[in-house]
Amino acid sequence: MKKFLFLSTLLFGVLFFSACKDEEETKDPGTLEVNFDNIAVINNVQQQLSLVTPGSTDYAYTNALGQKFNINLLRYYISAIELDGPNGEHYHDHMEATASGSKGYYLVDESIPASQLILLEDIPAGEYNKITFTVGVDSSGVVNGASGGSLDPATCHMFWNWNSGYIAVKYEGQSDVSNGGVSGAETVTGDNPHGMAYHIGGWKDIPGGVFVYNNKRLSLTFDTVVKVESKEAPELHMVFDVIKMFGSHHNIDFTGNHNVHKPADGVEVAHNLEHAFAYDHIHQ
Amino acid sequence: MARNVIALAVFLLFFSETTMACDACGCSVNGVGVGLMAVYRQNYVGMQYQYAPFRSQLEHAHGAVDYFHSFELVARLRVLRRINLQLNQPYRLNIRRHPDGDDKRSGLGDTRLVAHYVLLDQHQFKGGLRLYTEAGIGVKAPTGPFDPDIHDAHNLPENFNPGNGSWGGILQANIVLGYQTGGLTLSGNYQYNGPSTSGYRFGHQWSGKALLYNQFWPNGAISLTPYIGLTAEGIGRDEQADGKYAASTGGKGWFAAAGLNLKFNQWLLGAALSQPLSQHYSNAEVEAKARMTMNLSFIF
Repeated sequence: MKKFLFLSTLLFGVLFFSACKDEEETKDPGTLEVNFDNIAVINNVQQQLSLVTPGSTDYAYTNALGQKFNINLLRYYISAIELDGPNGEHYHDHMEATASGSKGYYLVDESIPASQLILLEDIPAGEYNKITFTVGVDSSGVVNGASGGSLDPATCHMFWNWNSGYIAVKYEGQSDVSNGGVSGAETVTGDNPHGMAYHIGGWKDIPGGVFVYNNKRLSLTFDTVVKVESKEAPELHMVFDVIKMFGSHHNIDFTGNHNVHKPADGVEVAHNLEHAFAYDHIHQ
Repeated sequence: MARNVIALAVFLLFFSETTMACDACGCSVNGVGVGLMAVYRQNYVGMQYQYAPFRSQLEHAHGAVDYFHSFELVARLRVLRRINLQLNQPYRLNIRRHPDGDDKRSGLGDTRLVAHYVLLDQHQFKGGLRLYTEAGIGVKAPTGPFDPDIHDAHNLPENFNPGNGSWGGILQANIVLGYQTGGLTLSGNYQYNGPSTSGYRFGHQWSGKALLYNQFWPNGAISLTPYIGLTAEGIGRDEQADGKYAASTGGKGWFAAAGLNLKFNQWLLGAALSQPLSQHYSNAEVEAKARMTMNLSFIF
């Protein structure tokens, strides 16, 4: 009887208190999928962007000056990604720019959902709470000569020339307050009476001239840590708010120069990029 | 008489309160966990309804709420002096209410069959304390429909499937400490989940409860048994076919539970409520709300 009592209590105890087994901790490197979600924050609510065909007069968005606008095209480079953790963990994405291909330069295109997912691999196991990245392509992506992959001038539609380098952020659309006259755009034509094109970039800094360094190196801290190791498949969700691109440090006036094709003309929008990107959440 | 009272109370207690080991993203809601215990000499068949809502905490989910309804046929039969068999056959109705549109999945859940061995059959201690203990081992069969693409194709969590597409093993233990018309029941349940044919494996589940009860007879024919206590549940993280953990799965919670059972002749009617006390489900992305259970059964 005592044996039964002991055994049954033991069995019960084992079952009642048995939590899931502790998962084995491995120290193998893991991955992190970084999602760039392009949004417009309207009345404090995140809205997914909707692109319209060139010439459309459906204006879903309003800038800080109350000017309505829409979006035909939105594309930007994210490069030189680094991750840092609270215990000294560090990771930097492999960068390469050669004729046969390029690594570490990601062209995020609102019209291509797959381009908004960046898979970082071989990240040392550990916890990370900060991401740093460049919006745009810095000198090493330009001075190495003609590059392939996401940097291929023939297919990326983001290359100016060797002096100006790559466009960091390309926006095209229209607003009723714009008087059009856009040139050199991908989707908006010169005869569109309300078209706009903001091509923002520049990797050289030559004071007094057209060449201004407009790429932005941003560091964003998470409200939690993300655990990286071989058994985990975490996702980091970042957002890019197009409303902030046109109004944060500077309120962009669409009645002014809305045909921006050289670095010096894009300084204010470039400055706004510092507030347009934000950390949103993590799936662990 | 005392024997019948305790046995019946035990039965009432266990039948009317179960916990569901689940979270709203990636875990098997099918793991209706705690073993149902029956009177040592009595058999029963009945229907149990369970309702468990979860609210998404993610800003971009805009307050989506998941409602898990379960209609379960439960039967228990004593086959040998110390062995009884228990069958659970659920039917699940899972509903998601979302500002962008609702969605739902329904169908038979996975069948569970557990064999219990009675270790201590109302062992009497000095002072009138009685102890009943049984341990069970069983199997869960993948009888319910399971769509491995429910997440990628339909943007629903894997646990919206009525079944989880895999075989599982079950261990249970139940203890009842009785004293006169009342007592304490303790139970534990562990379910091991194998991988489905698509390679997705739901996290293993455990649950437990501790409930105090007492039985009253307001007028000879009808008895009332109120009870109160604590329940707990936990689920391990799901694993994808590639061996990596599925994001936002797993979780645990502690609940305060209270209920009332009414017995008239061979019929039993019960209802119970559980309120979460502390919880961490799906990486804190979902919040479990209060749950409700009702049951009607026939004892023979």
